This record gives sequence, C-alpha cells and structure tokens, in this order.
Amino acid sequence: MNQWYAIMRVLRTDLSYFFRTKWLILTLITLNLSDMIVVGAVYSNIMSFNYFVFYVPGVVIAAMFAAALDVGRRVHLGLSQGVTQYYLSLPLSLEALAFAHILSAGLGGLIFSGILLLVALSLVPQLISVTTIMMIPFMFLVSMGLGGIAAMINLFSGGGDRFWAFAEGVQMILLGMSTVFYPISIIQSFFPNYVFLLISLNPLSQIADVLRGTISPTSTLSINSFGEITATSFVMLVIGFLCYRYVFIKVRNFGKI
Amino acid sequence: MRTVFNSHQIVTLLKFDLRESFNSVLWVGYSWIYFLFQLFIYGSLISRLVVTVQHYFFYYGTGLIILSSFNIASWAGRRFVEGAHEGRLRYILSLPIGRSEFFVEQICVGVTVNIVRMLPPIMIVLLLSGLFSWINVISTLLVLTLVAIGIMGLMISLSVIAFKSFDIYSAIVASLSALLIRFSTISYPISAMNSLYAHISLTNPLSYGADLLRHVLGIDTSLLLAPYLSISMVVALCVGTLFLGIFFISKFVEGVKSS
Repeated sequence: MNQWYAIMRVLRTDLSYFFRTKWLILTLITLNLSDMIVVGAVYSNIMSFNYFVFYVPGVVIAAMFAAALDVGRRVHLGLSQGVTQYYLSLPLSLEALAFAHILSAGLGGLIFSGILLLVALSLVPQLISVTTIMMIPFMFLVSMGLGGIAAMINLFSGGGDRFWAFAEGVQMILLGMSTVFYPISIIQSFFPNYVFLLISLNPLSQIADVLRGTISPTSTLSINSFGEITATSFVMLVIGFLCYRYVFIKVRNFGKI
Repeated sequence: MRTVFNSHQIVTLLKFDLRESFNSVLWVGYSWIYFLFQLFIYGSLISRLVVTVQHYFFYYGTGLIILSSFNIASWAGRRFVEGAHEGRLRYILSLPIGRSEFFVEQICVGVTVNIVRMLPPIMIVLLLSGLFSWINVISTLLVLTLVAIGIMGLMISLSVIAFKSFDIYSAIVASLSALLIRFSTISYPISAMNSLYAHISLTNPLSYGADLLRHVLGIDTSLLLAPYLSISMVVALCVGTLFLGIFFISKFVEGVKSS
C-alpha cells in the first residue's frame, strides 16, 4: 500500500472519531463561546482595559490546544483498545502511522479553532485582517506541534489512567504559563526572567500574541514572530513524532507500552 | 416492620466506595496541585489586572474553593452514572438495600470525599487571607457540604437522561456545569455583570453558595448577595435536590443499556 494513501486513511479515521460525537463538539463550542461572551465581557467591567478583545483570541488558541490534545486522547484509547495493534498489522510503516497521528492533530486543531475563529471574527471585527488569514497555516503547524505534546504524554504516562492526569496537568501548565489569558507585561513583572523566557517560548503564547497583534496598533508583527512559531512548533512536532515512533515500536515488540 | 434506613448496609457499602474513591493517591495529590496552581498562578496574575474589586485574590480564592467543591460533587454524580454504565448499578440494585438508602450512601461518599479533598485548600486560603480559625474552617466545610449535596443531588437526578443516551448526558452535564460556573459569582461579583447576566446569575444556586461562603468569612460584603437569601437558597437547593434524587432513583433507575 502506498504510504501516503495509508496516512490519508488513518487521518480520515482519526478525524471522523474526533467529529463523530456531535453532541460533544457542540458542547465544546458552547463552552468556548460562553467563555468569550460571559467571562471576557464580565472581566472587562472590573479591569482597566478591554479584556474582552484581549481574551477572545486567547479562547480560540486554548480551543485549538484542546482539540489537538484530543487526538492524543484517541491514540491513547487506541493503544488500550487494540486499535494501534491493528494499525501495526497493516502494511503501514511506523513513521507513516506516527506522522498520520501528528497530521490529524494538526487538522483537528485547525478545523475546531477555525470554527471558533469565525465566531471570534464576528465578536471582534478588528481581528479581520490579512494577518489573521496568514495565521491559518501557522495554526495548523502549532496544532501539529501540540499533537506532539500529546505523543509525549502518551510515552511518559506509560498508558493507563495516568494519561488523563498527565494530559490535564500539561494542559494546565501550558495554558497557565502562557499569554493566552493575561498580558505579557503582567507576566514579566510577576515571574523571574528565566520563567518569563520559557513563557515567551511557549507556542501558545507566540501564536496568541501574533493573533492579538492584528488588533493592537502598537504591535510589532514581524517575520521573526512567524519564524519563532515555526521553529518551536517544528521542534515539538519532531519530538512528538519520535515519541509516537518509540511508543509504536514498543507496542509492536512487546504488545504494550 | 422494615425500618426506613438500614444503617449497617449503608456503612458497609460506604466503606467499600470510600476505599475505591481514595484508591488513587495520584488523583488526590493532583487535585491539590491543580488548586494551588489555579490560586497562585492564575489567581495572582488575574488579581493584578482586576482594579475594581478590593483584595480580589481572596475573592478569587473563596470562589475557587466553591468551584473545586462543585467539581468534586459533579464527579460524584458522574461516578454514579459511570457505575450504571459499567453494570455496577445493576448489581447494587440486586442487593438487599433500599433505593433511598443507596442514594443516601452515594451522597455520603460525595460529602466525605469533598471534605477530605477540600480541607487542605481551605486551610491554605484561610491562612493566606489571615482568616484562619477553627470556627471559619468548620463554617466553610458546612457551606461546602450544603452546596455539594445540592449539586450531587442535581447530577444524580440528571442521570435519568444517561439511561437514554450517555453522550447526551455528558453533553448536558458539561454544558450545565459550564453555564452554572460562568453565570455565577464564583469569579466576579454580580455588580460587574450586565443586567441580563445578573438576572441569570440570581437564579444560580452557585452564586448564593459562593457569596454565602464569603459572608461567613467576612470578605468584602458590599459586593455580595444578602446573607439570609443566600442561606435560604442553598438550603432549598440541598433539600430540593435530595428529594428529587430519591424520587428519580426510586421510580426510574433500573440499570442502563450497554454501549
């Protein structure tokens, strides 16, 4: 079987799993929407700046992260339910299987956050710009990188129920230690320099800041910003690919992680 | 003549459930770390942005206590449904234990887990805010217990939906939880909301629970709902959902179709 064709088949299966539970997708969208129009709007009334406009792009990025991690959750379930073992019995290379999962995380994140981005554009029309359109391929890249994080969780949790604790913990740390929910100036004054550097390198911070850059008149959008996003996402993507590959080798050789 | 409650059967089942609930030290430890992270990172950073609420860090801390308690109560409700889905409920219904007794036992599990898991976070928030006293600890636990019983009763009552479709139940519970949290005074005072949100928030028992806790602890009372109204609403939720849960479990719960 042609490897690209096989990758597309796995990708299609992953995505159909993701979008199969329509009730759940609808719920996730409702949750994010209520975050935007309730939390963002109410916090704006007790803060000294328009937090709503700041918060809405953050919610889009948080949703992208959740969707990319969800593909990792499916892979985890696939490992415990024998789906991965079945894939490994097919004429599909380990590399192709690992890449297919990373690719589906990218697409899942992009489609889900794309829906929310459309909502965000209607709520914050200032976001409508060429930069926002330019962001779409980078959102795909970051989602793939975040899919790589899901692969790392799969590897280090060693399967079982620990996966859920690890996934929630990683999600909490990456979202909490980013500029998704608070401005970079507050973070800079709160954390020591080395923590601030790590937060700046967090791809969630990078993409959220670039997305917000379309609103702020004082923003300094540059090729560097996109270069940084590409570099950090690519590193995570490669690490994730290697983690999945290692997990699948272990499953092939020992039947479990 | 059969007694209303057979305490021996309740205690036996309770012991078994509690052993299972505290089986995973990882999850208990994780819930505390999650709380501390939310308080010290998210709470600290957001409180630097909030300008119109005095001592917002403590306001947020008390809201976080109610939120965590709400999450534990929701977990207890979901656990009941998952038990039904995995066939455990059918087994329990076949035991010589009354349905009301079983419902009370489920509530007792949730309350015990709530108290054990919430005690360290409560102590931390009270110590940080300089409000620590055993009276305050006991009062806080009392408010949390009332709120938790109300939420558990609600979640277990909603489990009737899960017997039709587990997916729909999950979606409804997730949406309801999110709306209850967002349209409440857990994270922001009612004065910060526009009139529509404020009206919705006034129908939300979590708002009364959060503000009652703040009243009990004496935090910024100018922004809170009236204490007598709050206590009436919390007690009404608690008693109302207890009866609703007993009614549903007695009349409708018969096990669940396998997925």
